[in-house]
Amino acid sequence: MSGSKMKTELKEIMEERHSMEEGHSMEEGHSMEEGHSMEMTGESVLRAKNLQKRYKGFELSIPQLALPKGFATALIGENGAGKTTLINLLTGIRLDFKGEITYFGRPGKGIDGSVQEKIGYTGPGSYFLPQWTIRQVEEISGLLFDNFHKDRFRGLCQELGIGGDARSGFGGLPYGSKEVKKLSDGNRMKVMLAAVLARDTELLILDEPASPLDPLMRDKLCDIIREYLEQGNGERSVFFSTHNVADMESVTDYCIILEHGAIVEEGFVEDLKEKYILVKGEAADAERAREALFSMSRSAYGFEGICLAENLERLAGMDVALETPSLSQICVAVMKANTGLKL
Amino acid sequence: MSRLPSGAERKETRAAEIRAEERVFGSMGKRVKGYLVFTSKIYRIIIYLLMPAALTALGVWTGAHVGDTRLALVLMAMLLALTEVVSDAWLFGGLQARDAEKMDYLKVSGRGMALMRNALALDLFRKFLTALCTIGAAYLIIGQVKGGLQGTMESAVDLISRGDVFQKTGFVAYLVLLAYWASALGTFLSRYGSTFQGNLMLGYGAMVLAGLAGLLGPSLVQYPSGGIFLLDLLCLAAGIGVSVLAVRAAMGKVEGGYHDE
Repeated sequence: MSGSKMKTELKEIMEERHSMEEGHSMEEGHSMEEGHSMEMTGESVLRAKNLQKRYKGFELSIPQLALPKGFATALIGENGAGKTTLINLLTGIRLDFKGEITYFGRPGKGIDGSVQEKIGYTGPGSYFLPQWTIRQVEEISGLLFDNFHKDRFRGLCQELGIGGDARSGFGGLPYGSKEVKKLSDGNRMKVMLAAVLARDTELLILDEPASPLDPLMRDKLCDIIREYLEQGNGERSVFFSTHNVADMESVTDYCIILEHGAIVEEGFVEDLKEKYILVKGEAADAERAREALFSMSRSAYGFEGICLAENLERLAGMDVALETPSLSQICVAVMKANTGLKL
Repeated sequence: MSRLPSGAERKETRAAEIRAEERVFGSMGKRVKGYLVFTSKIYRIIIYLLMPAALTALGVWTGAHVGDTRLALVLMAMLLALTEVVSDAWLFGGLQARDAEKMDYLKVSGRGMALMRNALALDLFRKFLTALCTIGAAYLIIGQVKGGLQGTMESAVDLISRGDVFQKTGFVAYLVLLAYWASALGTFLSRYGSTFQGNLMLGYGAMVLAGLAGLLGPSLVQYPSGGIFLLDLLCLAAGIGVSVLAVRAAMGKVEGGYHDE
């Protein structure tokens, strides 16, 4: 690719993107405020204002948070970024924080039993009492939630292959007498998923649902989330944290990237893919390109990096190829640019 | 702009909601069901059937063929205290485990805390019923065995039989309440531990306590006398007090998970 040709193409691409951005903000109401943050301004299932939670050596501080209604939102960030802390505040597991959370468009109500009935949550660690059996999980779920369906739970257990041999269980529920603590991490997550999906909810909040699952089950999880949203006809939403961005990309509509307890990037995936460009070039241009790139990795043969669309013109004159980045590539670039780690 | 609620206000609101949910929790049948879901089938078989049956059999055998009735019943009270404290680790051991205060599944339900409190309280009540049934049944059976087929209680010649019918009832009630109090005390203290071994040690402690109180208590009030009813009242008050503390300690740990406590 010659330099002059590249210059022309860059200009065209930039013009095209500018016009698309204008169109988006007019049609969908998405704004590009606060530097690189693309806040969601449509209807939201959950809104939070001035959220603050402090631990020793860590502070979660989120001035504004809005989860789009009817979509799957991924919460992404490195270990210790505050993902689980944020989810704990949103689900009512932690109550000692500053700020205000509005659920399902009911301002001032905060979290209560009726809100919790509409939220399905799965989380890591001590979720169930360890000595509970799967059968007890079923019985307790029926007491804890009015909208729990026993038959659906058993069907989901079978569908997700918990245990394996249905003949060894009771009433078609495999391993009904098996204690939760004796299940593998993956099977424990499946029980959690079965328990929340067996309820009629409007919002799923899943903390690292994909991590303990095998690739096949991750694919199944994406199907489950997709099906859940489709059946909701725009009334159901999903919010999940994940490190497995590539596996979950197919089901992610909106993305929030958290670093050091603060949101450093957010937006609809389609918008983010227009905002960031994957740039590949030759090794000779690497040093010059570094100044324009958001993040870069290089080898003896060339370099590859993520560039903000608005900075594309700074690559003019270089022999580079432009591609649409994957969500995973965008997330890694944003995280690299914001991490405190020396990588 | 409206003032944002503080953590303490949220805690207060939550506590009010839990109280409201407890009222909704309603009927005794629901309460029992809510308790039973915490127990596994094998737990029910062992703790509700086999353990009381074995203790009763041991008490009857000891009372009828080895020692006197009082010694047999004191031995039962001791073993009840031990087994109840140890078996609590089986049912609510998760409460004592590190980070167990999370128990997220209960917390994300409006009635999770009410369910937990109900289960803790009813399990203590179950401990009392077990003590009442096993010691009471053993006392009656020993009387039948010692009295032959006619089953006259007076033929059971030992310390208990020296009192009148009220004093004898008071003596048995004392051992029942003593067994319960020692069990509840061990259970309460175990809430601050975190291992099965800890429960075992506390179980031994409760057992020794029950043994000493069972043997020395009646002597202190110079049984047969009305003083046995004073011991009954003392044990009843102590049992209720320790029960309240045991539930509070457990709930404090669980609800503390909502806050930095």
